[in-house]
Amino acid sequence: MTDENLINLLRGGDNNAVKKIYKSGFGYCASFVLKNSGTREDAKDVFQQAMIVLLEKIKDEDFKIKVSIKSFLYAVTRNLWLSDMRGRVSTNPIDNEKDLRLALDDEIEEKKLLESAYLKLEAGFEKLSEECKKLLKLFFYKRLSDREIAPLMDYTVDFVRNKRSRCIKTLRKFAA
Amino acid sequence: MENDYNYPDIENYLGGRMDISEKEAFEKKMKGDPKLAEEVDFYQKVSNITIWKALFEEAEEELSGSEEKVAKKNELSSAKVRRLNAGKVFAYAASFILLIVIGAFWYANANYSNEALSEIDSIRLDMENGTRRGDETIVDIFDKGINALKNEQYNIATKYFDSIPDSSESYTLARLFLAYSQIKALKFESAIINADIVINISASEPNRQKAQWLKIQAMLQSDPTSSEFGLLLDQVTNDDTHMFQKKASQLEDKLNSVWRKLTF
Repeated sequence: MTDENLINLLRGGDNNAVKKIYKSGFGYCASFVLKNSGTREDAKDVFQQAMIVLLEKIKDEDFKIKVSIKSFLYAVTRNLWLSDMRGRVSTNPIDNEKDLRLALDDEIEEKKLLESAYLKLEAGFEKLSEECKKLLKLFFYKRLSDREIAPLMDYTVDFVRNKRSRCIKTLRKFAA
Repeated sequence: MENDYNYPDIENYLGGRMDISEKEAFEKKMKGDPKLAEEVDFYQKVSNITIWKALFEEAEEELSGSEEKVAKKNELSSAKVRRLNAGKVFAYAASFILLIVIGAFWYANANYSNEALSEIDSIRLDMENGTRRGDETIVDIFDKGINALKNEQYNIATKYFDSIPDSSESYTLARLFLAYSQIKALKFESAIINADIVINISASEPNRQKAQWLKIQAMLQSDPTSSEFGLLLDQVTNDDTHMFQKKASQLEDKLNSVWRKLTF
């Protein structure tokens, strides 16, 4: 399957395409983190952020990927990890090390990456309680109704609605 | 004012659960209310990020599962390789040991068997003229026997030497040649008897010693475990004046060697 086909599938909301890209790109991208003092967990976190950047970009119909999906993910993973290693400063951390920068696309430059609302949201999501994560996944990903979620979480139907509302507010706070 | 919005409305809008008129009304409301539009956008992002994270989690599990499978497969392969290697090592070791054993048996038989220890050719019998006595007939018979010996016609030689009567001066010498010919003809029992005759009646010490060595050689092939063989060998070995003392000693050593135990 070509990258173009995969991108079209992603734009059409194909979940399997997301997983396919994740599984095919993780090892390649993780190798950079692992070679640069990172653990597998670090690699997973950074790669998921890179995936989010890709998925966010793809939502823009005008976005044209100039390299392969794998190379794009690698470049983003690299820039994010270099930034992470420098303590996630707010200014472009690789300005002084232009040789390290993969100038594949201005859009993946560190400064812009760090401004990504999705990445901020992802960071906030990670800070949520396990109950909130589970509830949001059941609702948004599994597309279950409050009535279906209630027995799975041992909540009343009303509490499911309230709890979800509270979780989203917390997420907003964390992502701010 | 973020808490003032009706989440079910947003959920229904984003979830496509509004009919056309409800949808149009909601979109019109968003156009007039940037905050609502912002809220819907945020809600959409929450929905997306939740879905993506769930998908990443699943992909991660599938990856880990594959890695575990690969690791398990590698482990099984390694175990199999280890088993195969162990089997190979065992087979190589067994083959090596078998080769060593076969080689040892081959070496022992090649160097320590009765045939290998035979020193019959170390006896130098005087086959030249002048050694025998008697009339022309006897000398002629003797010469024919020697001639047969030289031509390795041992059975013929035994007949000539055996035909020399005990009344002849060359009788003991003929018995010595007869014993030698009989050993060559693999008639060891007869050779022992004739060697004994020489040992008992010969006036020549060298011939007696040769007869003793012939007897030892004959007994080595026919009955090397007998006490008589052992005693005779000891006797020669301990006789410093015996012309075959050194060879007898070497033979004794070889007979007592561990290699000798490996012979069939």
